[in-house]
Amino acid sequence: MNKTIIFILSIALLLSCSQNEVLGPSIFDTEDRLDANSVSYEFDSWLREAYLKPYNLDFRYRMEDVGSDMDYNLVPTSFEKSQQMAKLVKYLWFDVYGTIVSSEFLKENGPRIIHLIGSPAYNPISGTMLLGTAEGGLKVTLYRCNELDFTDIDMLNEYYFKTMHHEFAHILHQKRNYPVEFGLISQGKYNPLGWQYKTDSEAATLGFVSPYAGSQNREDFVEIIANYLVKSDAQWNNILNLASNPGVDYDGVTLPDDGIDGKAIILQKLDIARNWLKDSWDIDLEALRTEIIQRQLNINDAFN
Amino acid sequence: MRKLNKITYFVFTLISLILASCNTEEPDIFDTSPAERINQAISDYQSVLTSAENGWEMDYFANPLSGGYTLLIKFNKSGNAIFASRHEYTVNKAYETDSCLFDIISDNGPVLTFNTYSNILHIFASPDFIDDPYYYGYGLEGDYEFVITKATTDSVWLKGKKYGSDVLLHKLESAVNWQSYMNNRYDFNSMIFSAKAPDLSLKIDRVTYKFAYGYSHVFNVKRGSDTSLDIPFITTDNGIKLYKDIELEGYTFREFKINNAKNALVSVENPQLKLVGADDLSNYFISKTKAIWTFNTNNTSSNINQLLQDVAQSSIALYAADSVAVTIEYSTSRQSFVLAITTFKGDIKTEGLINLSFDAYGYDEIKISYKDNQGNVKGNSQGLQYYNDIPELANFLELLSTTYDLYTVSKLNPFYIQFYKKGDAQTYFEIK
Repeated sequence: MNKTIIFILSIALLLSCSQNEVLGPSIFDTEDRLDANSVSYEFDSWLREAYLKPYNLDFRYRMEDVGSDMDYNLVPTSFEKSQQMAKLVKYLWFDVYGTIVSSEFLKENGPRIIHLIGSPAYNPISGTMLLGTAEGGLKVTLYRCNELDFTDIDMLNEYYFKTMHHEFAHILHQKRNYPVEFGLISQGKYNPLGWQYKTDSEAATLGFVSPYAGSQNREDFVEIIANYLVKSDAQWNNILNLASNPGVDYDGVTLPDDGIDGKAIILQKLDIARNWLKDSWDIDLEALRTEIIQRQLNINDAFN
Repeated sequence: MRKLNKITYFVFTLISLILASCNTEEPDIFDTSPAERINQAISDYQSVLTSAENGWEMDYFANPLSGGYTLLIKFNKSGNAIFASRHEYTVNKAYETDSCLFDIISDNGPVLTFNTYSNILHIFASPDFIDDPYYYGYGLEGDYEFVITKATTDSVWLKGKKYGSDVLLHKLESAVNWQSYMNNRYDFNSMIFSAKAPDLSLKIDRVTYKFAYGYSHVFNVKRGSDTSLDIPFITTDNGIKLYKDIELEGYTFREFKINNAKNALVSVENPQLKLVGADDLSNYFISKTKAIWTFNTNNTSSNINQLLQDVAQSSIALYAADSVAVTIEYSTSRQSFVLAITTFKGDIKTEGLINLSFDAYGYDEIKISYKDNQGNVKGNSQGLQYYNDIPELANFLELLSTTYDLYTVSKLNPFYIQFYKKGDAQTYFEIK
C-alpha cells in the first residue's frame, strides 16, 4: 500500500509542475542594428566592417565597469582616442598577421573582445600598474588608452603594442604549449613578488628582456616574443648589451658579476620562441617583426 | 482500516496542495514582462533626459564623503552628452566644456552610464587625479555610472553605482547662458570661500559650532573639543546646500542662503540661525598676523598709488635692484606690523621694514600710524636706510597715516580689505 502511495505521490509531483510552454521569439532585439542618427554611427559602422564581420570581434571602446575589474578605479577612453586606438590595433596587429601569416589566422586564434580602458589600473599596494590582460584567450583589455600619442612610437610600443603582442602570445601558448625546456633555463631565478624592484639592467644580466619577464616563466616566454617584435634593432641590441655587462641597480650602484651570461640566455630563449612559433603555428617571427617595424615607420597609414 | 483512511486523506490533501501551488492562473501584477518593463523605463528616461533643451544642472558629489560641484550637462538624442563647468578642478580654474557618449543600460535597473571619457566628469574618477604616485590608484573615487532612482520632467534622481553618492539633475531654464551661469557660480564661491578665509561659526543659543575648511566643500564641523563631523556641501547660486541633513542642538540644517549684506549664510530651515565669518574688520585685520597683504594698485586712489610707484622706482634706482615688492605684514622679530620694502637683485633679497601701528578705532574702523608716541620712526636698519634715502617713502607713510573706514565684499571671506580715509573719499587703497 505504501508503495502505491509513494508512486501516486511521485506521479503527482511530476505532473504538478509540468507545463507545455512553447518558447516564443526573444523579447530582445537580437539583430545587429546601428542607429544612423547616433554620433558614433560612423565609427561603429567602421568597427563592424573592420572587426565584427571579418573577425567576429567586439571592439568595446565604451567602457563597461561590469566588464572590467571592479577592484580598480578606472575611467573610460575618450571617443577620440578610441577611434585612434581601433585603427592602430588593426594596422599594427590584425593586418600584420593577415599579411604575414594568413587572413584566417586571427579569425581562428584572435580574441573575441577587445576592451579599452582610459586609465591605468594601478595597484597601490604593490606600486605597479596593469597595462593589459588576456582572459581565457577570448578577451584582451588595454589600459591607459587616454595617454595614446601615435606620434611617439616608443611610447606606443611600450604601453600598447608590446602589451598586445604579449597578451596574444599568452593566447597562443594557452592553445599550444611552449617547450618545457624554456622554463628550465631560468628556473630558480623567477621572482613573482619582487620583479618590480629590479632595473632593466639587473633583469637583463639575469637573462630577462624586462623586469616583468623575471616574474614567472610564462611571462618570460611572451615578453621575449613581444619585445623582439616591437623593438628596433638598436633597442634590441641595447637589451643584449645590458645583458652582457654587470647589472646596475636603482641607486646607480654596479652589482658584482653574477657569473650568468645574460645575453646568451636571452638569445637561447629567443631561439626557442622562434622555433615554437614556426613549428606550432607556422609563423615566421623575423617576417612578422620586419612587417611591424616597417608599418611603424609609416604610422600615418593607419588612419588612411 | 482507520490507519489507511488517514493516510489516504493525507495523500489527497497533499496532492491538492501541490497542484494548487503551481496554479498558473494567478493574475499577473504587471501586464508586461520584466525585460519589457525595463526597456520601457529606459526609453522613458531617455525621453526625459533629452527633453531638456538647455540641459540640466547636476549637483555632483563624487562620493558621500566628497565635496559637491556643479556640472552642466545636455543630453542629445544622438547619444552625445555635452558637459560644462567651472570650479577649482577645471583646467586653469576656467570655464571648460567637452563631451562624451552616454547610454542608459539595464543593469541594477536602468543605469545612466557615461561610457567614454569627459574631462569634466571623469576627472572625479581618475585614479591619478592626485599627481603623487603615493595616491595613484585612488583619486577622488567618483562615480560615472548612476542608477536612475526617480525622474520627473524637471528633476532626475541618480545614485552612484560604485560609491553610492546621491546626485540630482534639475532642469535648466531655456534662457540660462551656460558660461555666464558657471562664471557667476565660480565668482560667488570665490567670494565666500578661500583657503585663507576665517572659519565660519554658527551660534545656537549659547553653543558655537565652528565650520572649517569651507574652501574644500567639505565642512569640518566642531563644537568645542568634541569629535568633529565632516559635512560635504555644494555651492548654489545664492548659498550652499549640504549633502544631507545635519542636526545640531535639536535643529535640522540642509540649506543656507547669503543675506543682503553678504556677511552671513542664513539657514533656510531656521532663519534665526546663520553662519558668519569675520565680524569687525579692524579686529580681523589685526588678528591676521600670518598674512602678507599686497597693494591692489587697480583699486587704489591716484595720490597713494603715485607715491607707491615712486617708492618702488626710487628703491630700484638707488639700489640697482631688479625688482621690488611693497607689502604690509606682521613681523614677529619686530613684534609689530610693518611696511616691508623688499628689493631683489639676482639671488639677493633685501628687506627693509618700517614699523606701522594699526589700532582698532571703532567697528570697521582703523587708525594707521608710522611714528611712535614720541614721534620716532622705527624699523630695521635697512628700513631706516630706505626711509632716509627715499624721500617719497616719508610722504607715502605720511599719507597712509590716518583713520579709515574698512570694507570688504563679504565678511565670510575677507580676502581683500579696502581702506577709505575718513572724510576724504578720494584717498583709499585696497590690500589683499
